[in-house]
Amino acid sequence: MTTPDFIPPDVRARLKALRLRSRRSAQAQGFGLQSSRHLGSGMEFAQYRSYEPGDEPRQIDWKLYARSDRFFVREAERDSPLTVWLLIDTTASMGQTDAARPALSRLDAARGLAACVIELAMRQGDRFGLLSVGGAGLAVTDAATGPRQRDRCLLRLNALSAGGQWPEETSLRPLWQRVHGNAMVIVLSDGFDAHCVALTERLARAEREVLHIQLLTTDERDFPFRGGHRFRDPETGDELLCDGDAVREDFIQQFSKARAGLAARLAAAGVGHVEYLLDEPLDAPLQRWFGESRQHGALPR
Amino acid sequence: MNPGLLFPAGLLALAGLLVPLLIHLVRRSELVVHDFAALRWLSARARPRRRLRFDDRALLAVRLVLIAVIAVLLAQPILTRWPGARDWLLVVPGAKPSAVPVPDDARPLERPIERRWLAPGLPALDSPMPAAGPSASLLRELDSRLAPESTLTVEVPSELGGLDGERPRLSRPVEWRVSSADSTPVEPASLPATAARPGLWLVYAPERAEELRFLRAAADAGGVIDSDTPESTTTGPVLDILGEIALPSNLNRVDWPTFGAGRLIWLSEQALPPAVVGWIQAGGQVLRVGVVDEAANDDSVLVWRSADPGSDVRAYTLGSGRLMVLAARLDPEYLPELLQPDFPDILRGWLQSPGPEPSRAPARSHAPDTGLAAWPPPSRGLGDWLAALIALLFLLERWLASAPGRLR
Repeated sequence: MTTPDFIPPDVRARLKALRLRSRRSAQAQGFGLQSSRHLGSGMEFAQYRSYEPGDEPRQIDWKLYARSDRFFVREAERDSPLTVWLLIDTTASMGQTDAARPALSRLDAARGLAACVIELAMRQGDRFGLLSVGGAGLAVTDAATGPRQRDRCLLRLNALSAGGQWPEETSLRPLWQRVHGNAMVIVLSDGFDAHCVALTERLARAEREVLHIQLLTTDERDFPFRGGHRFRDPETGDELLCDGDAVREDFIQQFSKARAGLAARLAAAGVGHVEYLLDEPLDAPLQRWFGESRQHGALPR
Repeated sequence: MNPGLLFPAGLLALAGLLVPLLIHLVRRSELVVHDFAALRWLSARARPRRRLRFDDRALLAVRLVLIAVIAVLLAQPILTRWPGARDWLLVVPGAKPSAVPVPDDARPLERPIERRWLAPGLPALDSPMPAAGPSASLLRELDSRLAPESTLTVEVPSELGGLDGERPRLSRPVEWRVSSADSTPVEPASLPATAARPGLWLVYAPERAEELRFLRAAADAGGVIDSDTPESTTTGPVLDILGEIALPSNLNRVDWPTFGAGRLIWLSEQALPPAVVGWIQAGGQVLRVGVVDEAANDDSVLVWRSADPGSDVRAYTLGSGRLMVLAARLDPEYLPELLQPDFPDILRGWLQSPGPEPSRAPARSHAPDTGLAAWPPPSRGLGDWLAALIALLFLLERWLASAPGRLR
């Protein structure tokens, strides 16, 4: 079984210039870079290796020396300074596509963005995991690093499908056991679900660094419908028959207000917020948030 | 160049314009349900307007034009146009060459002069003299093809051949120049040699044998007593009876002789056997006597009218031969002319081939008449161009109809 590739080549090339960087605690980590999987001193045991000149004597496992009469150095895996969790909204509204590009749904864009983040995290040696919340409840792929973890996550991404509504609060409890403090959570959602936004705010309040990427279709930006059309809310099933030309101005105005309201609400909660429109290149929101110009700068829009 | 329609009722197909209008009037877009998660920001009060509205204006326009062009094609459009006006100089073969004026005359020519022989195909005057053709018919045809401004000048010999039953009536005046002396007198058309005494084959049903008496008597009679044509009185019998055949009940058993150029008189109600029909079609002539003329129709020609209205002789053309039908039997009660002294001549008149119709006249007395209404200009059909246009429009319609994202 081949792992799916969600990243177009041009986007993959541009990803090389990007680095996932935690704003909250970059200077508090002490080890400087969060970039790689260095072996060294740490809490978690990784392996033994034979002594080499230059190793510190205190690293030698003396008990093993007593048993085997040889010097072994005890190596531990250094804790990765960053754990990236991808929280993907898989409710039914994520299955919405553009009328102009019926083959690309919001969920497809979320897959591509998640794959980009996974690629970045794996390159830096960060741990990454996958959380998907949809009609089937919460599905967790535990955080780890390395190519196998990447492939596991990509396969899990490939199996995602949009459907159902946001689940009950109780079914999301395992999320709090997995997502520890100082982790970075990247929420990929359309931002239409109040529960999802509330969860994002709670994560931010609970000392997690949260980036909310709102996935919007071009239909929602431009409203290109002309004449009478029948619209259906995929989650509630409500239908509305209305005239495209008549409601366009009003809708665009209302929707812009709602977008601005969401952005203000998330900013107030300390959540990073980036919008992504389906006709943009896949790395656009990541460039906006993690790109060179934004690394030390002000809040993104 | 004037457009016209040969079949204006074809424009009724324009009613088909209603079909695309109705198709586009149906609001298909309202039947498609769009998933739209941002539904809560749509205001519900803006219902679709109920006025007439058409989807896909470009596609609708192409479809309307397509149907309109098809309707025009059904109406068979034509373009009528006269050819350029010219002066025509026509020379009937046989006219004196000196009557032909020199082409580059001293007087300036306003219009080009067409110089042609009045012969089939209208060959140019430079070519050798062709054989004479049906002059009157050619004149009429040319008159119908020429623009009203064109003039006609015809050089004719003093005696004109190729005429028909009427003086040509044309739509324009014709300058009719009759040559005083003919250089090459036209040979009169040779008449088909008609046998002065046609041989007779008498085929009879046995029960009608007594009718043969009249025919034998007519054949033996020494011709008609006519002082105007003394030679006919001296030629002896006017008819030769070559043979008499009594028909058995089964015609298949008859061994038919070779009739050749003789005439057949069929005194029986039995149908003609295929061998005889084949002979007629090859040029034979048959007179059926005492048969009800079932096939009397417009094709028949009245050959002879009797005093008794039920006893006329009518003739039909059958292949290159002739079938004549006399409804009455040879019985003086029905055919009183049987007893008259000129019956042999009457019988010979029935059996003789019709001679050629007169086709020659002095040219001076046969100048074409004018007064015919002007001919309509010649026309050219536009069907091919319209068909190509329809094909193009159809491709365009398919292209527009299958464009992606049309049903948005």
